[in-house]
Amino acid sequence: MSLWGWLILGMAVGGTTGFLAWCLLRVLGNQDKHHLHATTDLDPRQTDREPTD
Amino acid sequence: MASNLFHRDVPWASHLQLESRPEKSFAIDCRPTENAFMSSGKKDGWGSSLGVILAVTGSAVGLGNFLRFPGLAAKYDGAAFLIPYFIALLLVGLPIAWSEWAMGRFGGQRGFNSCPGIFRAIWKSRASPYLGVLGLIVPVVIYMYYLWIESWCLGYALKYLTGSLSLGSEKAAYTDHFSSYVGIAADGAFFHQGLALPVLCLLACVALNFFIIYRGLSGGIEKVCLWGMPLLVLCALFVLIRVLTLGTPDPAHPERNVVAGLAQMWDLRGGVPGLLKSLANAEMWLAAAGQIFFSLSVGFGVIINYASYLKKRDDIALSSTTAVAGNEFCEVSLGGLITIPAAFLFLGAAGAVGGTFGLGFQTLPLVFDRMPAGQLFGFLWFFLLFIAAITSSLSMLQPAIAFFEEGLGLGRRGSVSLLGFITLMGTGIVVWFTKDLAALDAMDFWVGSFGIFVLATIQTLLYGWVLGPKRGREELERGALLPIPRIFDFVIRYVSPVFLMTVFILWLHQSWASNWQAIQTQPSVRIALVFVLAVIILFVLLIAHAVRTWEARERKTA
Repeated sequence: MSLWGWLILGMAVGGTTGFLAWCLLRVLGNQDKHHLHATTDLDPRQTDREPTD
Repeated sequence: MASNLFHRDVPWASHLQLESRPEKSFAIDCRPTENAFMSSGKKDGWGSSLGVILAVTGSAVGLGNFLRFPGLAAKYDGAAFLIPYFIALLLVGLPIAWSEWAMGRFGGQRGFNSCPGIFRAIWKSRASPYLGVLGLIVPVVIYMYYLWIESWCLGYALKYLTGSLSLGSEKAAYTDHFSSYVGIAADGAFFHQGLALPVLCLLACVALNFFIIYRGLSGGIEKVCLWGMPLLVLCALFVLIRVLTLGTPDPAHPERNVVAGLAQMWDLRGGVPGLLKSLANAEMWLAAAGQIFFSLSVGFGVIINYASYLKKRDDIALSSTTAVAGNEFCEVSLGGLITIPAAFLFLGAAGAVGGTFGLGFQTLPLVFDRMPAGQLFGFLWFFLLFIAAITSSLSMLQPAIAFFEEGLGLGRRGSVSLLGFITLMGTGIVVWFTKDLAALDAMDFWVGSFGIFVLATIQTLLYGWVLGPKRGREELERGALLPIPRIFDFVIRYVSPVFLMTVFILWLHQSWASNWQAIQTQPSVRIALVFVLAVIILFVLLIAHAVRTWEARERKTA
């Protein structure tokens, strides 16, 4: 197999495997967390402070 | 504008004002319309985010990942095929998957889980629920013939387990075996075998599918996928390790070695000039786009249904991306490394080509016969295909079940029974008209390909032009664990529909003549399509009834 072949194989197989692993790690790492990305998620009354009472 | 129309026209829109309330309102449950529409009591749902991801991945991963993709890549100059393949993934696959998840959850928040209901929630038009009929017909009709293929996988796995599929070293023996197994010689030949393994496996698959689907989403489909998908990957890894450690299995053919087998699938034939020549082949672009499209199960009516069971603040961005990544892993990393190299090692370049059924049920059994410990690896291979098939077939039943529950007010048992009756009739037609697999091919073309293209186009237009990028993005980003690139809004609105319709027209141009001729010349094709038409009419009538029910409830709620 030519160098191109190994390169393409590595990129395709490594890329899809790595992408899945990255996604799964994020899913498993966020099972109990909630991340905010959208403006609709933001509550102006909420802050990061701990409750004072 | 669409948003305003929606809120103005819907009597219960006042409930939706909750959506703009702060976080503490959400903490209770912000699914205000649920009780207004759900007549069947307790609402189904997913148990975990991993469960829904594996269920969607299981729906997408099928025989096409392990047989069709490698076959196409080998046919279209190996590595050159991957360029249009990954371009199609970025321009069509991923964007449509994201939009389907977003539309599904959007509809689910408004109390709908079926395509007619979800389309109606997105687009307040009298036509919208009727467009959703495709979201029921496509999975139900595909299930009718896919179930049979699933039973072949189970049958072949059992034959390997009992050691009864060692037919010698001639390919003709495996071709004949496959022909007699499915009864390809004449209509009704499948049943002439009596209560033999093929028929028993089909009955077992019917029973298994309906037993699992009866247990519901989290208790049935999710549990099967949580166990089944890792098991599938494990089986595939065992087979992959076996293939990659075969070295040069036949000393008489030193050129048939593992590296040459990998080259058959992955190398650039003819170097860069060869690549450029391959890329000028329009047919290859069409095949690559079609493969991505069918492989991801977009335009299938399944993802939109599965996503509708998610909660308001569940992530859909990362989940949908992970499901796509899971499908690509199975297709490229597993299917791409196993099928063609294995066939090449024992049969050479001439043997490492073929369609789904040819490669899967005729070529590979011959490969396993020549492979050391082939019986074990043959079993693992067909067992993993069976898992891939059953996780897909289960997903095809759920959209119609959801419609029967929310549209007709049927309970789980009633929905499963009604769907069981309809699908059994369809499977009966497919399994009776087995000559040259005419009925199967007809349903696969008109519903499993044509119908999917139409549904995907409708969904893309609904998301891009009716729901709109703004509301769509709000839906995608709520609870998102992954940022969706801004360019997606442009791609889904302009690029995906144009790309999709171009591929659709080219594909139709390529396949129309032979399929139209089949209708004119083969009575079995006409019978199969008349049955499909009857099912479409039945579902349209049921949708009309459901719409009246929904309108009556809305008036009552108002």
